[in-house]
Amino acid sequence: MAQKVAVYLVVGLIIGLIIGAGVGWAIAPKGVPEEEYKKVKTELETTKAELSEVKALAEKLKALIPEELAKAEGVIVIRAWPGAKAYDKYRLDNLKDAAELLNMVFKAIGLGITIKFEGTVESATLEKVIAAYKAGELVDILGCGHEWIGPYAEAGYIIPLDDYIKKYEILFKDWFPYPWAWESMKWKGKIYGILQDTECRPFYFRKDVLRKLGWTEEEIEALPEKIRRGEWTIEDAIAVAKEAMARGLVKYGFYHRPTPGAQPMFVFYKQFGGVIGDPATGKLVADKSAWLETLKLFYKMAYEEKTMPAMAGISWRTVHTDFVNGRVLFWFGGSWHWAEYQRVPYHEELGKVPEEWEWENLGFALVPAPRPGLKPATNTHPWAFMISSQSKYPELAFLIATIATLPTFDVRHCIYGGKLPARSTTYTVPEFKENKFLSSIVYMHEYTDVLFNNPKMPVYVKLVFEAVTAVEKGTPPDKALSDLISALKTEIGDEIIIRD
Amino acid sequence: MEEVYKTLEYIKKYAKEYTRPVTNILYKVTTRFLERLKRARRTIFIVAFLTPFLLSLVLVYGLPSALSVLMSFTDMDLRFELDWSNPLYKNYYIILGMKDPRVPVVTYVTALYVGVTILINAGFSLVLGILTTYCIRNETIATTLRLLWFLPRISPVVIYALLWQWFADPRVGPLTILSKWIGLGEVSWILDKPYSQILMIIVNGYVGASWGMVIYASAVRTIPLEILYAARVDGASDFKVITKIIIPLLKWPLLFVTAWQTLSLLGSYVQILTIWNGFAYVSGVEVWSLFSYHSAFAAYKFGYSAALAMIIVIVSLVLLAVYFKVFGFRRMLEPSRIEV
Repeated sequence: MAQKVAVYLVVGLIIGLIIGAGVGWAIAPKGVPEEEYKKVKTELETTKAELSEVKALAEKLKALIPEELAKAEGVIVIRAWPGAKAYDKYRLDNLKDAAELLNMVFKAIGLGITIKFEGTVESATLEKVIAAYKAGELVDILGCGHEWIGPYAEAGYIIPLDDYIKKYEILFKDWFPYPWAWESMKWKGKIYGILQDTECRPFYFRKDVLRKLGWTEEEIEALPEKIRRGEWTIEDAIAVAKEAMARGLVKYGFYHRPTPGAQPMFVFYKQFGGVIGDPATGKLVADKSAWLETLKLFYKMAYEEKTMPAMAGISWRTVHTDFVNGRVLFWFGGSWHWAEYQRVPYHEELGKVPEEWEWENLGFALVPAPRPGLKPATNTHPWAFMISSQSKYPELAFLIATIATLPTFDVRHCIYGGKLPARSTTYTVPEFKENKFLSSIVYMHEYTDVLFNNPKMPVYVKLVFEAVTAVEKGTPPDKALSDLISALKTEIGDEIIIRD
Repeated sequence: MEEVYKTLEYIKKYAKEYTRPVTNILYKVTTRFLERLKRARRTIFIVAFLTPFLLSLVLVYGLPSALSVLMSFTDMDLRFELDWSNPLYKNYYIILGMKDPRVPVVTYVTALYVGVTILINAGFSLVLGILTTYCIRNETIATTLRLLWFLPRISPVVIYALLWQWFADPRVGPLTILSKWIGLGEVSWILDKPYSQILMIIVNGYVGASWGMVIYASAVRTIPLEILYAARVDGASDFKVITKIIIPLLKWPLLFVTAWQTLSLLGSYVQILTIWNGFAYVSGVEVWSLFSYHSAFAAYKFGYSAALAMIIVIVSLVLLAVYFKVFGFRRMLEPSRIEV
């Protein structure tokens, strides 16, 4: 019996062992195929390599972080007065979005900083800047016309940006290749401004009046190109104006702005070979011979040939209404007027004119050469962003201002505000190309120039306007010139170089 | 106070012989001090009453004026720092020595402007004041007339200037058309002298007239009607009543209006700036204050501008003294010798 039990036990044990082995075999983990093993291994190695690359990149990025930010933490307030009233609202919005973009980047690289952007629509006017600076409260980003770079730089309210521009060269690859774009942002050889936008001052003409004078459509359409090649000059314009006036088609041949400004006084002056300022010394320049020629031209147009009234004192509204209603043939205007005529009801019957009406009746070209042999030209008034010398984070403010002018942002400001771009690549953006008017005045940038960055530039502009007004009222050009020169000497003094 | 006196009396009475000289002195000093205090009370009250006003006067007018005086001796420019001139009186030398060719022209224009406009502001407004109170008895019509004259003053400067700009526009302005009608030919009321100067005077006179008119009108109303009736009963004509009774009684308001208007005219330029912005000098309407404004905010010669402004202040003070002399200021402040 005991033997029998032992046999059962042994057999049971053996069976149990066999079953156990079977179960063990069944549930034991299978070996990984070599193929798969290799794949996983490579993946692991690649990930490791990538991780070290990312680490290196992060280190690099961290090294790039401006010193001022490396120490900073929490919320950084950046304030701005970009000058964003009415149609320039994107000057403010672009800065806001640029700050937001930087916030996203900061978050992505794990920087513990958030920018709080505080901007108003105001621009950096003299009284405000002086008062704020004296109180130690000057905002970080200042927006105003480029002519203020001289005054503000001289007074120490803004800082030179050359080092930053060198550091972030890549952001400036598509600045205009023309010297004026850089020159207008400089003061005594250093760059103080970031170009924000530009425009140009075309010479408008009434197509309908030219048609009535017997010009064919082809002749009218070819006029801007003829002017560009210097084949059609102000002398021709005077002849056409006289003909149109004689036939009673218009009341006057020409109109120019009724208040001091660049167009066309300083355009003619440059065309006659005048120099506005000397970049080396930062001083203004008055070339007597060029001013004499310019004054003679105004004398001829207004007083001798009676093709233009003395413009001073005529209200802006009269100027625009007369041109829009066809009472004036030629108008030395600005590129923004094209949009203004669509928004302000100047036309006596149509009110606000549709753009198609403008294409039908108005033409635009460069300011023609004053006489054969000279060149056509125009003028632009760039808007600049400057960085305050009281900014705690000048590099950050600089980056925000620069990013706000990149084509993505630039284009929406141009389209909405009727401005020309700050960047040459903005021209290639489809949205810009679709804007027929803006894209057809782009070529004028090759012929344009700016006024000079000197604190006394506004005085120069005002005194020139006085001289122009005098000759238009019949003062002989020689007399007006000598008055102008003596006024320049007393009012501007050492800051102007008077040359023969 | 009473207690102190009692104590003093007590000490005086009962003090021993040898302490008497000391107590006497003590008594005298204390009583004198108390008397002074009594009298000073009034002064203290006046000072306390006036302090807030005086303080704001010093802060708002005094300090800036002192700063302007300092500024006028500097070459202050955009940096806004006190760079002392060399020599210190340089700015004044340039102005008073007529070294700036614009100064003589500006001086002439200012004299013309103030001299003629004051005739409107102090003289014509007198006519208006008497006309709307004495001559026109119907209160509704008189008030309406006065209100009409108030229009230029209550309308904002920019709108007022824009209206004039349109009115005198060399192309379409009614004034231009009107002057063509009356045979003046093609004149620009903005640019051609003397028309531009006439316009400048009218523009500012029109604003200023209403102010004098109100002062005169209220002064005329304070004249007891009995006097006027008595004069009429005695057979005085309206003209006589005005020249012999009303105007002599308006001497004080007349001085006040003339002095005030001269000072405000010397300092005014806003209307001229808004209408002639950019060509005031060639149009012959650049007055002294505008010249000072341009020196500061167009040429950024803050020091020079302050010196120009200082000269206006001095001229104003001199004129004020002259007016007081001419009108007999002292006599006017005395109580009237005639019962009115």
